[in-house]
Amino acid sequence: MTGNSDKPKNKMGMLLKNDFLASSRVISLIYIVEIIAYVFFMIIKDRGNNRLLALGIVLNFAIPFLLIFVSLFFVIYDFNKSLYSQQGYLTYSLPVTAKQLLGSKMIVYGLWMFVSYAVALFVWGYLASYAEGNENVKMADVALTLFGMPSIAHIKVYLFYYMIMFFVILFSFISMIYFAITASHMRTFQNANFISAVIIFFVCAIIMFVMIAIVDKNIFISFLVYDDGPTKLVIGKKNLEDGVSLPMSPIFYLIIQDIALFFITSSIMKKWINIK
Amino acid sequence: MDNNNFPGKSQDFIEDAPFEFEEIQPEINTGKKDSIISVRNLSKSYGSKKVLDGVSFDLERGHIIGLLGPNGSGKTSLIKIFTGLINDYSGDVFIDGHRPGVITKAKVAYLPEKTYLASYMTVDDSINYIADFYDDFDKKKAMSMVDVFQLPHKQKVKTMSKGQQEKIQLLLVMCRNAEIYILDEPMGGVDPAARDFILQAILQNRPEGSTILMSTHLIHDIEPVLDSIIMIGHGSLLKQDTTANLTAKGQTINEIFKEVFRNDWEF
Repeated sequence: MTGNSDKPKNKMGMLLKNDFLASSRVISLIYIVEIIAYVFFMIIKDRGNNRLLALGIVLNFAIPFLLIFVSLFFVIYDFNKSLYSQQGYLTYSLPVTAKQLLGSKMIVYGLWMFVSYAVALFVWGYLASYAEGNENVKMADVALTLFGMPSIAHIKVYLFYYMIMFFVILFSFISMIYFAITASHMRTFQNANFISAVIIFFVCAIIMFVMIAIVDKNIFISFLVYDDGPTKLVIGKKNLEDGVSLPMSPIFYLIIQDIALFFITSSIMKKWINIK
Repeated sequence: MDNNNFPGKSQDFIEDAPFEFEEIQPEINTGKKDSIISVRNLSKSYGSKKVLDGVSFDLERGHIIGLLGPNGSGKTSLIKIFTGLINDYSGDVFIDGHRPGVITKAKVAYLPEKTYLASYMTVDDSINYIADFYDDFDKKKAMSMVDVFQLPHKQKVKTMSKGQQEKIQLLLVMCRNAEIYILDEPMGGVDPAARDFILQAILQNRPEGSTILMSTHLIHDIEPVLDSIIMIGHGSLLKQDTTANLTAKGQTINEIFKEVFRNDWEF
């Protein structure tokens, strides 16, 4: 008896499609609200009506927050609902592996989180540049350089770095939340799965922050960005006069942690989950 | 033997590939030649409670089989093991020669006793969803059965009555041209008229040569259509035979069931 004739088609594409459709039902609504708020701001910004302008700024400042939080909430809610409620009877009986189930959700929801985050940064960046004006930025740059502070160009590199760092941490939080939810549905924790999930998540978060601190202090991998353009990844710590040195070891650690959590979570899903 | 320690490249090996399937399924001893499901020394515990204790049996291909037993006898656990929903058991289970996993999930059409469809799904959404994942799903038949079952195409599942939800889930299962149908209490919680409708829908839409394993308490309703029965209780296999053999002495399956499990309800 061989499995070749029995081998079902790979359904990863179908998982991605259906996870995307399910999530877009909710998340797309908040995108529509954001687009309306942004268009509203573009229309009223040069009209000289201060009240409407203030409203436009407040809306465009607040809605991107909402976008990120709604996306994050849905990412958690749908994971729990589709895998560990009665819907789990359907999800777990699909002809796909646990890695495919988890991988599909990580890809689709990771993309949603990334897009939400990017949209928020774009809108806030636009608001900031509108509020500051180009002349003010130039004056600030001169003042910072006079007092020996990093130049605007360096601050931009740092900002970009911390934006990436924040997203990597955000993604790691999602990995930990998925791990905590999954582990809490093992039979041992099932009678108190909400509390178990919260405890497991906080233990993971503490371990993550301790490990980041240890890695940051002891393992040095730096990404060098020179003022005249070139970049370089080097092992070791280096202070640059003509550029910026960014510590990369925490980011690499978080990526490794996410990969490890992916395999542990999918292994739990495959072997120890009990759908009630 | 633990299901994860079976020699050779098993379903576990296949599932270890990240997003792909491995090509290999070697020759393995998977029970009797004609059996569609083979169970060897199967045990499953919940904490200190053992619901299945070293159970072994084979289920014959092409039969309609009644899985009978009182509440808590392990019927649903057994079904969950067959459908890959429970994996922390010991012993060996083979569905058409394969351990429960991706390959068997593609072969088995499973009707759980719970409503499993997402609340946002309409009837058409749920048909499209199942069609995406099961190559043996007959979408044309499903669309026509929606009308026969008098179900509204665009209505959300969460707003449907219990009877309508049962109908749509039954439709999704019976529109597959599967080799095995595993039905957990398909007639539970519905009125006698609906029971008859469900049973007829199962029998009329079952592909020739397919196997149906049906767990139920409503033995009287399904007795005439059963080819064989398997009774489990107290963690063990208590009776397994064809209905012809069991009823040869004039007893009904219902009477045999009462006889086997009488002690469970005695004061």
